[in-house]
Amino acid sequence: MGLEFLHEYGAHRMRDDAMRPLLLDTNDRSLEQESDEEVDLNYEEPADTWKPIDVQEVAIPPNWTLCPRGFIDGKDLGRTVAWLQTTEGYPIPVRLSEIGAVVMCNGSAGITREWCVIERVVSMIVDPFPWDEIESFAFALQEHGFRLLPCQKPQGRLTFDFQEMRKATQNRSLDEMMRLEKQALVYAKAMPVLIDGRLESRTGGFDEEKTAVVGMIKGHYRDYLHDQGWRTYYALRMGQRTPLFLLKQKNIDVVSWYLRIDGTADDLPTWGIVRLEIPAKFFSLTIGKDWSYINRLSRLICEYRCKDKSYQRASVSLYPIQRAEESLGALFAGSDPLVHHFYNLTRL
Amino acid sequence: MPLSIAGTIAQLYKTAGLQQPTLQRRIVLLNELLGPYNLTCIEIAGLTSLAASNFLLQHGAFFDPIKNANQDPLAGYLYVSRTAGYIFVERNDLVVRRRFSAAHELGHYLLHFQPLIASTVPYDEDEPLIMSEALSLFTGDEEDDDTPTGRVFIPERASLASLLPPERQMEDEANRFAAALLMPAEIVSGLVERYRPVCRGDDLLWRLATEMLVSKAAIYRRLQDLHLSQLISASWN
Repeated sequence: MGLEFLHEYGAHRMRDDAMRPLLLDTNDRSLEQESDEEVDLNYEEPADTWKPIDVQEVAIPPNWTLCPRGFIDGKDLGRTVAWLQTTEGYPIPVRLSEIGAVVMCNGSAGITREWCVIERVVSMIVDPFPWDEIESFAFALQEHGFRLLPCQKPQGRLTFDFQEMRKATQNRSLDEMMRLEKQALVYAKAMPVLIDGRLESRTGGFDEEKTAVVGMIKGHYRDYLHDQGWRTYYALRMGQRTPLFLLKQKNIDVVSWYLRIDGTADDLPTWGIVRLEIPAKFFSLTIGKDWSYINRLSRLICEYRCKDKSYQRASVSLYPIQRAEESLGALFAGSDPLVHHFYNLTRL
Repeated sequence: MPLSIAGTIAQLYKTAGLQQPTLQRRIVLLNELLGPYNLTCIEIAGLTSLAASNFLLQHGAFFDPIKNANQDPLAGYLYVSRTAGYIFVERNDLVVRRRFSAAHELGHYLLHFQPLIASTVPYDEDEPLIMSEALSLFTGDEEDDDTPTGRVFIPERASLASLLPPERQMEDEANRFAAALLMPAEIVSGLVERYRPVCRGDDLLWRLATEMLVSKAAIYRRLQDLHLSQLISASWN
């Protein structure tokens, strides 16, 4: 059967279409997953006395060994390219992606690509189909350089909600991309690194106690702050940070803070504000809760901010991360050629 | 004379006219290996020995129900007569587990049932010989490390059971056969060598599992068998 599998099950091509709201359920499960987190807002300052902390004038020693030199980013460039149905009529999306991760290093030659990994993956829910047909399909994909990523059914059951099935499929390739980012972290070993994203989902890629790793998060997925925290947040000027707060999570405890890396009071109130986090063990055991480390780090991150205003997310991006994205993008085959290649192979 | 697992697998590939897997072609085509044998593989939702018996009756495979059939839930079931064999797997199991169940039953067939049939041929070729093996249902999800166990039945020729190895040994052999077949040692070692420098712990397990289309629990057990499991728990220090 091999790649004919899709054809045999009447798979249709699918046009490039953005994710739509779920058909049957509007709950955002990603938020529910994070509800395990505990927040301690009194970590650096008593919660009711929070005010912005200025790091603009902080001096960074020229040979500071904890200065992040490595910058890690991942990319999942893909889309749902086809859909088929089980014998019971459940819709099964097929997602084709190029996923990758890169380590950029800031050295004497400037910011250069130190290591990268790129893969082509096909993610889909496979369990409704006969094992021998999936085996043959996976084998044929492997022969053509694709890896089949079997997805879990959303919430352990099949659903007629295509968007929910699609989300599960997309999450699978994103998970795999994060595994590649963890490989990048392992590669970077003892080098102080900054990674674009949360540390929680990259645990295992670094030593919680010894690795100087910083996670930078651009979006807000949960309200961690109290009223005074929000007042402090909106009062941040460029080069100012909030006090640290402790986030106790399932896989790792981190200390976190908000930092405004760009913008003025005339911009949007949230303009240029990122959330940063480092492992709590590293900060308490290796750094000895030295707040000057946080200030130096914050100052340095402001220095690294992206100054290319044509770049879409420039206000919350760092130049080395922008370079990492561009570097990975250049190595990818690109969505359209890959999709057409896949259609040719599968005769869709 | 007991058959070696490695020898049986080598013979299996020879009979099927297939090449052994390589690092480039690392997913084993189990279904193609089943081809040359008179074994039919069937997926049934809610598999029990009774459901298997009913299926075979409805499809005219035989006229009398399987003796000792019951409603205990199963992951796999092997029914063998002198002339034909059927491997059933639980359709609601994960694909990776269904593959393992099918490989486990194939192991019983090649290591235990087929040699027994062959050994009885010169003496009582015309006597009916029915054998079956029921593999207990896996519990938990893909990550749970539950070693599959099963039971062999030879309902009409109990005396023949004495010619078989002890039950526990047979189950152990069937599991080792399935693991060695789906996760050949040289492929596992090669993949570990390839990914170990950058994959740690769980990530290495998931990587190997998706490279070979097996469960995480199965690859973990295989790494233990190959004395490679210490790599999974290797710490940062």
